[in-house]
Order: sequence, then C-alpha cells, then structure tokens
Amino acid sequence: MLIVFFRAIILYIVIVFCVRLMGKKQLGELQPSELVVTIMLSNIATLPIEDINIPVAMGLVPIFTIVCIDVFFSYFSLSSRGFRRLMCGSPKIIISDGVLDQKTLKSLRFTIDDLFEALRGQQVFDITQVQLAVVETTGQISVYVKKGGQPLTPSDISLDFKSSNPPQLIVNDGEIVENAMQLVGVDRRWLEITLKNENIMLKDVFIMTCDNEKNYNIIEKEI
Amino acid sequence: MKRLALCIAIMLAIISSCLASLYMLKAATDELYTKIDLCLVAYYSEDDTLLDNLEDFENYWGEYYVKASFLTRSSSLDDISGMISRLEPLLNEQGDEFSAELNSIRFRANLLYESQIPHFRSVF
Repeated sequence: MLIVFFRAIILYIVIVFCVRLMGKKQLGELQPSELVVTIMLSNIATLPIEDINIPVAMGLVPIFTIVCIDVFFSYFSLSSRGFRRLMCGSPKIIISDGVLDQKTLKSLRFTIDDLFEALRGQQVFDITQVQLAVVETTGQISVYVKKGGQPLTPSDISLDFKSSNPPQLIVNDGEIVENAMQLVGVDRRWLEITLKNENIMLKDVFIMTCDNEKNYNIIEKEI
Repeated sequence: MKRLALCIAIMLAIISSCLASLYMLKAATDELYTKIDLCLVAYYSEDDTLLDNLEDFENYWGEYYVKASFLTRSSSLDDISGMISRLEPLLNEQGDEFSAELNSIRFRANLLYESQIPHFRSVF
C-alpha cells in the first residue's frame, strides 16, 4: 500500500514537471500530436502505480522519452512547415463569403449540427453573415463575420482614442507586485506617498490597482 | 531554447542510464554465474566447501535481487528466489535435482539479462 502511495507521489511530480516542460500550449487546445502524448502519458503513469511488480523506472523512462521527443518535434516543427503540416495538419476553410464548402465539410467529417453548434458558440446564427470560417488544426472553428454584422468600433467612426494598459494589481494582500508597478510606470516611492496620503499602511492593503494614468483603487483588509 | 537543452540533457541521461544499467546487470549476472559454477564444481567433486559456496551464492542472490529489481518485474525475480530456497532441501536429498535446479537458475538468470537487451525481436 505504501509503495503505491510513494509511487503516486513520485509520478504525480514527474507528470506535473513533464507538462510544464511541454509548455503552456499543452494546457490549452491540443494539437493531434499533443493529444497523443497526453493520452500516452496518463496511461503509462498509471501502470507502475497500480502494479507494484513493475519498477518505477519502467514508467519514468518512457514518460521522459515521450516528452523529450514531443519537445524535439515542436522545435523541428518551428523550422519546417512541411513537418508541422505532417504532425498537426492544416487549417481548412469551410465557409467563404457566406457559402458553405460542402466537400471540405464532408472530408472533415463535420456534421451540419457540429458546424451550427460552433457558429452559435461564436454568436453567429445566420450562415450568410459569415465572411470566413476556418476549422483550425485543433478542431476549433474560427469565424470572421462580414463587416456589416460586426459591432461598431471607435475606429469605424474615426474616433480618436488613446491606447492604454488595463489597471494592474500592484499590491496583493499587503505585498508589492514589482512587475505590475513597472508596467504602469510607478515606483515604491509613489506607492509610499499615495498610501501615506490615504492614511493606510501597506500591510493593511488587500488589493490596490493602478493604471498608466496613475488612477488607483484601494481595497482595505477587513479581517 | 532552455527547454530544448533540458530535453537533450534528459535524453542523454536516459540513454546513459539505460546503458549503465545494462552493464551493471551484465556484471552482476556474470558474478552470479561464477557463484553457480563454484557450487556445481564443489557438488560434482563432492567438496566440503559446497555448503559455504551455496551460502555465498544465496547471499549474493540478495544483492542481485536488489540491483535487478530496478530493471525488471519483481515477479520474475521472485520465481528465481523460490528456486534458490529449494536448493538446500534438494542437496539434503542427495539426488541429481540439485545440479538440475542450479542449471535452471542459471538459465533463468540468463533469460532475465537477455530480456533487457534490445534485440529486433524484443523491440518489435
């Protein structure tokens, strides 16, 4: 029993490390090759946990080997478009200028229900409103709506506006977030003065946000 | 690039540890053969050292078991442990089964080592 317990801990740490090694991409939409790796990892990891006859090394070696190969292939895919296509496939256009490409839809084995479900998920209920719909290599459908159906933006009416970063969390539960302070262009001295003006100690600040214009918002700790 | 370097290092570590473990198992198996051969020679020559050799062999099997358990299923090692535990009673019976059992252990140890070598037939 204890053997299984220790093995579970070891393999949990190893799998978490391996997923981190594969990068953030693995946590989002999976490419075909990444899906294969994820399935294989989860399967291989459970074998030495369940069967104490199998040495842990027999689980660790294939896990690390598969992850390393995945990383090598990812780097190779960056430099070779052909290899990337081989491993991940290529995006396919299924709607162009409101016209559905039935042949592509059939070759992708997408049903009309699948297509409409994906369109509805993107707030599109009329196929004729779609300028371009693409089935990505992850299986997701990206939709670009015709200009007439898109919401009005400031640039459409030639409105002059200044771009700025959203407010950043510069104090988190009494602790200063240096990176965020740099992003909005404030320093510790400004923070000290501001807190002094507000008559509040740093340790009593629960949340403090600030934007590029130095507009800030402070929420004090209640408990 | 850091990730790629880390993966190359892990791959090299895996390959070198695989080769090292194979070398270690080969050395341990050769040592085991030597112990078995000493027992067989003493048995056939009806030497007084047979019991000492047998004890030495049994003790070495403990070490071998620990080394090999990192590489192979423990059930195959347990089978050989069972065979080794039968050696002393077989010796007391004074039949031919003692030498046959020793040869059988030698054969099983050889199979164990061979199973770790990546032959074409074992890979595919």
